[in-house]
Amino acid sequence: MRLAREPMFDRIEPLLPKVEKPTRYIDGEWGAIHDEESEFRVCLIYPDTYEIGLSNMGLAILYSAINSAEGMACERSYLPWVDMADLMRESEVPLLALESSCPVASFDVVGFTLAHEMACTNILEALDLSRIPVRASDRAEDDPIVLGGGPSVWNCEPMAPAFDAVLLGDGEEGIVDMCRCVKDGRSQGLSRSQILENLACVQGVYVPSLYDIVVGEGTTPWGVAVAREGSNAPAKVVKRVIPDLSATDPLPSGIVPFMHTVFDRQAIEVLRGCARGCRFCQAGITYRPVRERPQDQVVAACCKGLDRSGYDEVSLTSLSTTDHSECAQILHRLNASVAGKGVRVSIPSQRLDSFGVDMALEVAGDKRGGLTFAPEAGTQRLRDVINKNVTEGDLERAARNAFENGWRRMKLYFMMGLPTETDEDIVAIPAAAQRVLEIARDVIPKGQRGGVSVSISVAVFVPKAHTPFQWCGQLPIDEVRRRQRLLVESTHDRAIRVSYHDAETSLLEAFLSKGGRAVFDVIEDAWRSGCRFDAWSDHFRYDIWDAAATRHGYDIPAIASQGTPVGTRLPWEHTSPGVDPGFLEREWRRALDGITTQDCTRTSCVGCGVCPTLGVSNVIAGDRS
Amino acid sequence: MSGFMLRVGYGKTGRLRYLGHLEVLGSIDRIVRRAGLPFAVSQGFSPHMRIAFSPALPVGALSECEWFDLMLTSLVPVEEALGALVDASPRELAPTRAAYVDPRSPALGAWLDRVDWEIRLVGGGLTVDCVRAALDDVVSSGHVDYLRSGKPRTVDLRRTLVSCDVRGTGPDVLLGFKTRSSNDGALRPDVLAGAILGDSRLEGASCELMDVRKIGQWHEGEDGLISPLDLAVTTSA
Ligand code: SF4
Repeated sequence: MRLAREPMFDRIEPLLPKVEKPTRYIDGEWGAIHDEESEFRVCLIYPDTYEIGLSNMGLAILYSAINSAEGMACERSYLPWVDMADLMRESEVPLLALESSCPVASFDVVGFTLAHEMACTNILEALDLSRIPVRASDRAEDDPIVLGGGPSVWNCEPMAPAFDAVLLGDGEEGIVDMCRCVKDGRSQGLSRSQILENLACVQGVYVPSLYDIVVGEGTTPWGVAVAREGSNAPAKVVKRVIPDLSATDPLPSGIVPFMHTVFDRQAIEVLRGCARGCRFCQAGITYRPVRERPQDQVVAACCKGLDRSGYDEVSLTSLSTTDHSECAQILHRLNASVAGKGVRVSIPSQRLDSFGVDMALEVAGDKRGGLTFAPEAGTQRLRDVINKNVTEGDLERAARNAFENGWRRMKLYFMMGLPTETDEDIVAIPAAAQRVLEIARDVIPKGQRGGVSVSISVAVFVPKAHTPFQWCGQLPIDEVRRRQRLLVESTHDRAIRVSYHDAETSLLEAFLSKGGRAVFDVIEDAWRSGCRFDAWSDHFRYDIWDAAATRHGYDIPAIASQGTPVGTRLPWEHTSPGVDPGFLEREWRRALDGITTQDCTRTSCVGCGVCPTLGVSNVIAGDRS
Repeated sequence: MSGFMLRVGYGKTGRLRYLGHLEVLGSIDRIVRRAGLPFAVSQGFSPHMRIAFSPALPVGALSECEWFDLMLTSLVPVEEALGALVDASPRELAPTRAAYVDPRSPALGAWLDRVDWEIRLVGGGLTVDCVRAALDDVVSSGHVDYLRSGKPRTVDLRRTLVSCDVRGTGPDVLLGFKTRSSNDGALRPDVLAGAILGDSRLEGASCELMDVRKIGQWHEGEDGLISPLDLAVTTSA
């Protein structure tokens, strides 16, 4: 039932002295938009705490896109931390939107960012706190229309029953089209199901309730989603794409939080997409093609953004900022323009080569924190399998360059459980760290070696939909644990610190990445049994998940480690990021043969199919080769 | 490095009373940057704005008498600087007055050693008389024992409490008190309120809401109280 639109801050206020970090709930930030005029209202929810959600670029982009659209107002909400959520239930206060303090369930549209698989119980928690039924099929005529979108929609079946509609791909135009469709439908007095039919006609929109799950020959036990006959739903939903990033506002929302957030700075998206072609990487497929923002636009946006926000740091964000063809020029110009203002320029990740170090040098100022590189695999053989096109030589040159330039701490990211991996590849991880350490000892004079440290962080590979590794099973958990021990045992130097991801978290991630619509029963059960904030290690309860899955007849470890024969119809094949399935298959075979594939922004098209399918092409501002 | 020290009075009101001290400092840093004032930056590894603040206000406490000293590299007329700051501030954290002071003035933190507080108590069965009795009981003991971050602490009321009184307005009880801080310590409003409300001193009454408000802060000079703006100087470029 739609709740009445009335401000309820007076109901939240008495709870504030009782909770951690009350600033999460108070609104009033600089740059927040308060629009009391518009008739049509959207609330975007980030399914995690305020300080994580506020930094989310995608949500900021959608917030300003909707607020700029005629006749629509957009507010935000975040999931209250457990202390506040419990108090709100106890005091019978529903989840509120931040700007107006009105109930989320009083809005016309409620949109969620599917940030990652581990946020699924948080979405249910947010819906329930809002008093919106967690299943779309249980919603009443006048309940808000619940939308989903974001990075984790690429196998959205496990969460599909929670959504009235899901947007695939770039959101800035798609979300406005969806809202307009709902707005028009409401003003024409259409029924909820008619509105959903209309939403299915908006390009890039998947309406789960219009698809039946069919299990049959050639499918996995999860089946495939088939558009219902007589409905408007397309057989395959192809993602939305913005052909030219320069046509979008480089400075979307200007909300400046009071509290410390995870990325507490002005962020400017300098490019979208990455075509390096790492075969495990979902974003590398789903954000294609590569679209760079021109340097003048980036520099102007940074300066304007800093003036407007008052931040003392500006960050150039993207999947691979140092790949921007004008990265060096942008950093030079920015550094010159912020000189003397106590402002830092930062880039989120470094490319594993000397250029990466040069760029890190460009932004480091007098400070030398840690430097981070991601070789991902220990041996050249395995790096060829995953198409991580860096060599031992690249790592060694980058390390030497970094230590010579004053860095003392280096962090190396690897993955474990990659296809074809053997013990040799595991042992090679600490060996690579050891070589880096020896370079440090070689380069750095004896008296200054005190602060030298090399750390390795090893994640467990999770096979993701729409990647060349989508058919793989995850390494069985016992084997993960054995290899984790092997990793630690083969690390001999005490100056090398080893950390690895929790195997059970990765296991659940694999289960959620592989499963179909029926998995929602497990998610709902786990949430009803108390799971929330699964991405917070101290709140993650694998035992509850395992019990929930067992109750529904699923064996999480068995499902996670189950491979699928190539050619099988996959649970996500009705959604498409534009990539040609034949390309993924070809990449999988090349992986097994250890043959690498080039980055199409540096050589020529390698035939992934995204550009012809979507009618777009890579947009490179300068020259990348 | 010489410069022009702008002393700015501001409030922390409304919802923004729930900001923590570090959140206030960060927000004011951003306000100054947004205002486009020519602030001075410290030298060193991580250059930062040269700004200093009056003592931390507890989370949840209201005040219209908070202060910061901002070093500027060039002289901006006071009205212009204040206007720019106000335009760049959320209303509930907005500056209200400003003046230039001698850059060699003592740092606000320790110099502001006299603070007046008012606490509004609302609750079932709370009366002026019962609060006054509880207060008298606390004051006559001469000290308050409390826990801070789990550690037992004591504050000496004879050194830190200058005077106090209890008044009533309708259903509310107002507890006013003047404090004096030194290197030996300061009396926090929540500590005094905790002592009054705790230890079952109120016999059956309960406090449901507590509004803490800082009424004023000064430096105690030999000839009486000195307000931060009493040190204003006239400056010319
Ligand atoms: S279609 Fe070709 S150019 Fe376009 S992203 Fe794919 S490989 Fe690159």
